[in-house]
Amino acid sequence: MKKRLYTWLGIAFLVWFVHDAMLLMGCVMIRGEMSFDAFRSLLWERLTLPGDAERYLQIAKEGYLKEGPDAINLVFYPLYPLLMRVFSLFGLLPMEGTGMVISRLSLAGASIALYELVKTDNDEKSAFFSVLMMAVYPFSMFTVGVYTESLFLFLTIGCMLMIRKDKMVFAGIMGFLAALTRVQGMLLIFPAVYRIVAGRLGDEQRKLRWTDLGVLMIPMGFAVYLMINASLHGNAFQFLLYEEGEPWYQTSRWLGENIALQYRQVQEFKGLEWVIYIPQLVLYFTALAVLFLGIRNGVRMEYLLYGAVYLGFTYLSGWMISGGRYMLCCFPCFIVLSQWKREGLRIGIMVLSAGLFVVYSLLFLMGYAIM
Amino acid sequence: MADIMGAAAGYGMISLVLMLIAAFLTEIHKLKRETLRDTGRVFLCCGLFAAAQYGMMVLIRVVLYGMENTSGFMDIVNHPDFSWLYDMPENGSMYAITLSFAFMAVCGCFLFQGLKGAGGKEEADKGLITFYLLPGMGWAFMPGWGFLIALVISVAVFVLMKLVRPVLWKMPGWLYGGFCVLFAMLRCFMLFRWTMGV
Repeated sequence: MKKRLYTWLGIAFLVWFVHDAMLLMGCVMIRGEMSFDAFRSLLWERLTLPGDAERYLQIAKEGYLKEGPDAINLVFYPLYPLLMRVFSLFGLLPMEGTGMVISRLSLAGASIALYELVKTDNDEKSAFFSVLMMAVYPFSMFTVGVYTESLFLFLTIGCMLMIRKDKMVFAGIMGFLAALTRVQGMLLIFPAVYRIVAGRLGDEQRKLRWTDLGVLMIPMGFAVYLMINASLHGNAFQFLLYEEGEPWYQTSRWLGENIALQYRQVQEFKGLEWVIYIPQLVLYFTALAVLFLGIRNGVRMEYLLYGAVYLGFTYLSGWMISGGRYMLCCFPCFIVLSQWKREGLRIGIMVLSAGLFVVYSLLFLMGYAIM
Repeated sequence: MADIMGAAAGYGMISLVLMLIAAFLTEIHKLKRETLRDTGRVFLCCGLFAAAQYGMMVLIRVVLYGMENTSGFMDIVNHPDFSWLYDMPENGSMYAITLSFAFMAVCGCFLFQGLKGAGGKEEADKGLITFYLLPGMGWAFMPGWGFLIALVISVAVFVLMKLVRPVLWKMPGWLYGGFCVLFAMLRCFMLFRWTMGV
């Protein structure tokens, strides 16, 4: 148990170190110095203000509003701002600092959960590899800011770990919380149901248990969010109306259409192609290839199924500009790569990913449109 | 180019879903692991042939007319046989190409299993490659009804090969290779003609 605890602490400090080292590099490059004030101001400016961070902070401070320009923040799910609100009551840190602390703790939790998940069926080396791959994913800088990525990763990987351990009630609880963090959380119902069905029909001949009903909690997280919509606006799907309008113009279309649109946007929006659209195109086809690799290498079907539905659902988004960030949470790709027996190739991919992590983190810290 | 990329994305996702279904059936012992592997190889083979065909078309178009005149399928093909696509709704050509790719993969599965049952894996591999390389088979990868003809051929092979052992696959390797090269050259020639609007 002691050894396990030290391993977990080691993982937490490792992933924090990777991101802090990156932030320090950014500080030296952008501010030209490594003082505490320079570091703090860079952190504040780039991890608490841009993009969705401001909106989560507004919800944490004021809640969902019925009218006014901030009413559209209803499109953001409630768990993360709720946690910020609760922890800020202790008065130790301002709301922004609380958000960053929640993200850091969640990042550590997600990394530990991923380690334990991979280690269940593989050796320790593969488990560490998966943690490192996630830490140096090109857009993983969002895991230490006021964003939901870390919390969502912690809850989804935690849910998958509970599914793997056949603890369906705990899987349901984590899935419920994941569905209250981001809409993709309800996709966890797929691997959960798969585990039950395949376990019954396959070699395991798993008996159905009343605790299997726990997986029904997963879509209830989304149902709670719909109830929030209904209680505020009398329309359970008010968030869809807000998403279709300014500034998001979001619709859902067949992913082929969206990929075609992304390609056109590469040519249309010069200056944004290398930070938004090309990465989104590359990530789609790369994730697809990795999932096929997973089928070939016999990776557990629950992981691949979640990866496939997550990829498909994410790319149904009609006006996507944060694909790099969204694909961070397609963690089955990290699992597939960690189980690949071609040591040279997987190290090569990690090195490439780490290089891109440095490039995109610096561009993000410099204020480029990575969101 | 955009609609071709969209079709590739759609084909990729459809293939992934079909492969996951096949993997599930393998896990509950309704499908052999070997059949799962064969299916994956057929999808990959079909995807590579489609990529080669469309890649060749794009390359010819870009070399002849420049990148700025290669934005979509209709620019690339520039052939009166595809003028009906102008009457389709937006992105219609992308859906038509996706459909052709998906059905050609299904054709490949029928063909492969039929030939494998009759003659073994090596003959099935040769048959699959020959099928995709056949001059005229390029139509089946294009928007239109070509894939239905390919489907009929492949189902016929699946049914008939169980009864009739093909003699063609007994030819020497150098002769088979020669036919493949000839077929590939004919396909490229036809692609060139399409792209030039002849």
